[in-house]
Amino acid sequence: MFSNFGSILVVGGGIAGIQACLDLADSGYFVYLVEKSAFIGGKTAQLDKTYPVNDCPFCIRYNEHMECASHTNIEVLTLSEVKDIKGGSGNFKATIIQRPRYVDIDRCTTCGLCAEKCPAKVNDEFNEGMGKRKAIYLEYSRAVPNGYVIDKKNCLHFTEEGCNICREACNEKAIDFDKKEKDITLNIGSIILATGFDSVIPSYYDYDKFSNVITSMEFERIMSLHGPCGGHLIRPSDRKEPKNIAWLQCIGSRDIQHNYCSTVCCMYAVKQASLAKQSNRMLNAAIFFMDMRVCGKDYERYYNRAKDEDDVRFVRSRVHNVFPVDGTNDLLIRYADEQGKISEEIYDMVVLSLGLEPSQDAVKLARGLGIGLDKNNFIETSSFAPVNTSVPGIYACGAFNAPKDISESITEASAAACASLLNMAVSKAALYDESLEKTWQKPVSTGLVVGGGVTGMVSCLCLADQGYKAYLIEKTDKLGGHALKLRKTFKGEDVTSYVKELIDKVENHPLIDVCFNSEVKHTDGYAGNFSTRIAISSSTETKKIKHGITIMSTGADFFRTSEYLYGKNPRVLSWFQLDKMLDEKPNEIKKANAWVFILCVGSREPERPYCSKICCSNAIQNALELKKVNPDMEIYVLYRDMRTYGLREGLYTDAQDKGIVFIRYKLDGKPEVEEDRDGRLKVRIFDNILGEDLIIQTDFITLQTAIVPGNHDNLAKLFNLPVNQDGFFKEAHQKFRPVEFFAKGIYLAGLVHSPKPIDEAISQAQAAAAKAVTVLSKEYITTSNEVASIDLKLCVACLTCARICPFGAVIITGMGEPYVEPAKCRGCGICVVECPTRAMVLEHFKNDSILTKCKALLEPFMGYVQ
Amino acid sequence: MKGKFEPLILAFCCNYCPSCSADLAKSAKLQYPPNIRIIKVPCIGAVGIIHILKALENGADGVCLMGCLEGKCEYSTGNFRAMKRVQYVKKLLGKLSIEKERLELYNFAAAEAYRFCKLAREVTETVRTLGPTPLKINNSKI
Repeated sequence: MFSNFGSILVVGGGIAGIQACLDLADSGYFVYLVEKSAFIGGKTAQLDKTYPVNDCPFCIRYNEHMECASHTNIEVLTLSEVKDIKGGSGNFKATIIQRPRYVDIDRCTTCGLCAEKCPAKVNDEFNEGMGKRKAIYLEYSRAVPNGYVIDKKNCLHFTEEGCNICREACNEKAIDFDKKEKDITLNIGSIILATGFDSVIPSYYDYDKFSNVITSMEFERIMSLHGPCGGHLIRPSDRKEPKNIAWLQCIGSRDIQHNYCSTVCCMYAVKQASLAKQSNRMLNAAIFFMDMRVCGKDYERYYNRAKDEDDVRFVRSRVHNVFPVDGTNDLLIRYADEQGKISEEIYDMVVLSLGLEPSQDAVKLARGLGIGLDKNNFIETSSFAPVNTSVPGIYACGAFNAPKDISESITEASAAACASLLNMAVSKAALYDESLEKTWQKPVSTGLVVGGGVTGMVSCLCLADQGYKAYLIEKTDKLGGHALKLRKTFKGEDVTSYVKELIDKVENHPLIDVCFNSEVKHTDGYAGNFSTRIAISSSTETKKIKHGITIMSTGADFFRTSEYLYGKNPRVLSWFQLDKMLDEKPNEIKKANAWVFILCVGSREPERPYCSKICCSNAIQNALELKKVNPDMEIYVLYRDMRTYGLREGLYTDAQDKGIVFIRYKLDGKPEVEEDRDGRLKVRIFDNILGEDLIIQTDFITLQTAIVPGNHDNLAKLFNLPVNQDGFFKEAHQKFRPVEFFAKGIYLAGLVHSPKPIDEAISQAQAAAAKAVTVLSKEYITTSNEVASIDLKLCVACLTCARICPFGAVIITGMGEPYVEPAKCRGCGICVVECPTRAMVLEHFKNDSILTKCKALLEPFMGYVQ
Repeated sequence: MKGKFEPLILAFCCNYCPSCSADLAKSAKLQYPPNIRIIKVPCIGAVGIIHILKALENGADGVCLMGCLEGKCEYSTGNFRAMKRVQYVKKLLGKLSIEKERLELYNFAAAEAYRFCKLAREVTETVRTLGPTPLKINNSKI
């Protein structure tokens, strides 16, 4: 039928794998999804709610799961594992072992008779072993692929010869015990690894002894409505409602074996504690933490809400062990508070916030492929190519690259899809299924990117390298944006030369048209067919551009503070002034005896209640650079929470080893900066551990100022885009659609979304380009066939339809007749009902058909007949 | 079946949240009375006065409209339009001395399978106590 040579292999059917598959398939490539277990969805499907929106992940992703299973361009291979991969980029040969399901999925109606009759009861892994399931099972009622599976290890047919109960019970004759394991050989162009993570309890915690010490995932299952407790919060030992629960953070992260932060645990513990509090107001919930690392879009607000509204107690302490209380199932926690005072508290239940580590099978697979791994077994990637592994043609996304949450995994999945598209210099091998859709117009295969920073340039290059013309609109007279001020990434890569190279590539690319000193003046249209007018400040003329998609990457700005003598004393620097100094004046640094870094300048304050995410790592990175130039210098870092998340934790431990002093301050006890008559600086700060004020004589002070949204009100108005309360653009869904707007065909990337480091901005840029290609690559703009149309013979041009249409899809033509723009109409049918002359018709929901249904459904005995 | 009155209730169900709830009830294998018969519509705002009246005329003992939560309509205002229409038809029913309780509008979120089944049972009971629709007697020829 078609050649599979241009196809792509995605390993791992979790949230990242599914997203990568969908983006590739929508761009017209054929994808194989290999999943180890019997169902796709991965760890996300097990979660009860997701932060910071408290949505049910399963409700929102169900459509994507179904689409993945039924897409004509995706073949889902469940119960499969990669055995061997040979060849190189563009021409891999993969051997997949597929274990049999024993149930014919096309026949299975999920009636559940087989499971009802099955005599073998086993622990349910989906519920983390807390409930029971049968040997023939469905993970949960809407698991995809929606069909039962037989667990060979526990099935009595295989363990004790001869049990055929389920086969006899099945009315559809779907069960076949004779199926054998088979090898599948695939020819593929590139590979995406989306194998995710494992959570393992470190061996030094004797967790198994106590039944009321549970893992965070077990807690998710307890809270889940479809879990073993039906959403009722009870503790495992006696199934009673707990009165107090403790969360212990950093279990299996930030220790000697795991020199990294797992990034997500703080937020999920905050979520679990506040949801538990919301379910039972009398509950006493306490989180024992080291640093509260809630550095993402709106995460700080979520944390503040848990603290202030839900009364979750936050205790800054690392708990080392849990002791039993004799005669009960309660647990004793002994901890030292900030002043070093030892306290003991008794809890009914303890939740361990387990860290993330790469899954063992994936590490084995990656080693076999010769992919470079770091010392923690995460994949080694560059900040400038965040999804490329060391082997060409193999890409990685999700938690295998570094610990990360759902929205970043989804972004990376789209980015990996984009990167592998760039790699595929082969013809598309795909089928289009358009039976329910109406084709009517070719999309304009041009992209418009607003903002010429690193993000904008990467997006442009991604589009142009795939053969689409791209316009880059830049407000100033040069490309590069704020990245021009940066020196190095946290991994030590040189930003300056990367940006120079990028600018060079963009300016010399034949398909990229850069418009300097220009601004968007007007825009109109829909996905696939926008038309935008650009004004160039040097001339009075405007330029009209027709484009299929728009990417917003106008970036952000830095906060100009007046605190801490900034702007008054030349020795109080901002972070980019220090970057410049490191390059230009190392001699002054060599002369300095002491240096103070002040963090959270302008961030995490009542008027700006968000974390700027990059300041902590940037400060430590620069502090280490200073130490390199002048090892004798005393360096003090004044911080509120040390948010060196993910692999950046390495910087923090490194800095502590090098003797950099860290002093924590609170919002109500900010450091005070004074200068004496000679202009020498003095910092006064209250030290929590000593319990008294410290006075630091220093030569220089660096302020890590907040990142604030740029001035994009005008763009928001022109493109009709939502902005959140902090002034950043608001995406379609915080967790699951991080680079899209609700309006189709418009995407966002980079700091315009929220503060983030360069590697995350680049992966967003690639992700936005991947989404854009799904529109640009279409042969035709397809719209649903469910759109309204007007019978002009009946129309009296009363304009009711034009007035009430919620989407402005009804346009009055020059002839004074209404016309429904099919690309804008979303088929709600409101105009059909409101039309006084019945001139509007909605395909598939015609008036007659509804009335016929009314009549037919009211036939008396219908529905009672078996 | 003789002797016991089984009402027939027609439910216009928005394709978004209420249908999700109904689907979820199905996949969670929850049961609701078979008296409720569902017609899916793209938005509850696409159900006109004529549809409600025709359903009653065709012999429905009760009619319910199921829309998304207020403010959560996929098409921004569809459920408010439905609310107005339901109020209007209720007024008409009052003039015809037909019980107003035969018509009701409900708002659902997407995951309310339990509430969906509970409401289905409640509606059936309400209409059962009201008895057969007075329109059915004269309408036997249709």
